[in-house]
Amino acid sequence: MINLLKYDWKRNANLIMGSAAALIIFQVAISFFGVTRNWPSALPLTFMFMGYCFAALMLIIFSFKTFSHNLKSYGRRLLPVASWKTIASPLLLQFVLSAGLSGLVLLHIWLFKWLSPSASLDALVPPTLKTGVLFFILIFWMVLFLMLLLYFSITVGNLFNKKLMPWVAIAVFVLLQFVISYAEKFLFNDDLFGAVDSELSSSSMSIFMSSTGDISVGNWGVMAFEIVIGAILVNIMLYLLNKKLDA
Amino acid sequence: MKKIVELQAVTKNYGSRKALHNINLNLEAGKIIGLLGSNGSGKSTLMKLAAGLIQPTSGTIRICGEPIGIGTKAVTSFMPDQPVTESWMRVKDALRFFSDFYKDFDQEKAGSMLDFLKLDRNDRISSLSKGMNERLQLTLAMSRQAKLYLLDEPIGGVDPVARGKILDAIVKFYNEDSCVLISTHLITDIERIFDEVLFIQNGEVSLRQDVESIRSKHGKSVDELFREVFSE
Repeated sequence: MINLLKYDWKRNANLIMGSAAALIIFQVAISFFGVTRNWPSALPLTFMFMGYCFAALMLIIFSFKTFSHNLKSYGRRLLPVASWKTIASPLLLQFVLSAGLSGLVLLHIWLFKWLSPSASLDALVPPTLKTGVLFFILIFWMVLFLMLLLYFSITVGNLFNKKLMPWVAIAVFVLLQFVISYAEKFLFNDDLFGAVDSELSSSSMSIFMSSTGDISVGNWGVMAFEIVIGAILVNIMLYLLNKKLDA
Repeated sequence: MKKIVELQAVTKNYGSRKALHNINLNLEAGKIIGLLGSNGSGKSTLMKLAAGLIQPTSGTIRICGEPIGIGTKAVTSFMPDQPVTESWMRVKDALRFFSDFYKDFDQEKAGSMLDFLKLDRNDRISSLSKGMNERLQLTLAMSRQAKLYLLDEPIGGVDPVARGKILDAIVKFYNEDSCVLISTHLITDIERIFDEVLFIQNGEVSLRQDVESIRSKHGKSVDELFREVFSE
């Protein structure tokens, strides 16, 4: 597993390191101009978050591209390793890189606070440890579930020829999102993504953070439902990898 | 002799096109077998099925008595028609990759083969010529102590001098407890190393014979027999 992770990293190391350098230069430049030109504190914060959101999106794209590459790579498919590791390796790499990105965000926030003591960053800090942990679990699961949906769609797409593959993958992804969202609404009158969206749109991060602090029973039910769906998707992917999918 | 490969009623379709049709085949240890056929006859498909890269539409495949899976991949060494290495690698990275994943990968054997085939460990794979890349792929495949070696066109893209060197390398580094299956179009160059040949035509095995008996019974070389069978 660690070996697979190592080679996934080595294949993409230049791209990742280059992107990380570009992100850091962008953030340093934004912070520098924010401080030296006395921008209102909300402006560099907005740019900062846009930069990090873009980086997180890039990590998701990078992760499913790595998975997709591994599905078709002769070098990978010939290896005597269990199929679940083909799924787990790019996921693990994504979470390791996400942890690195989160560390960079925290370091940036700390530096920002140090350089601009007057700036209010309360909205970014969870009010309690429990809220922070729950928020982390929620985000972790949302990303993991999203990745499983993407991986599943790519796996099904790869059952078809090159021309059809992207369209089938997109269709499967959209259909799954729709069916799961509908089922969650029907069963729990709620969904995990819906809850977050409404809280985010309701104004500030602080409201969102405090409300996830006492996450409702319905949301835990949604999460349990999604865990079951995730397990089913993984099992179908393993079946397809072992029995149906050509390299 | 120990059966290495067993195919029972194996069929492989790509959409509506039949690549292999109802193949029944056993291959034993201790032989170098030529898999010969025209373009699109199903040679590469047969190899990919045995290597576990593609799945049969129907039928069963066993390698050393086991159905295709992690166990069979651990004892099968495949040199496919495209590189198993990645463009970022140097030759030494490719060796490390193989030794990281294949317990039977023999670094010493790989080192000897690299020297024999005049490959430099520090060369970037992306800068290797087609012929040099084929030498590297062959080195990687033959440096394992596998039970089954599958070599798909191992001399397809190399000059005649290098061909001789590659064939000598196959014979020199071949382990007699194993079975080597080689697909090729270049029969004249390679037939000297075959113990047996399999002719595959339109997805079906049309002939299987010892090379010696082809020469003694038919009074022909494998190349002459191939031309006779496939000119029809």
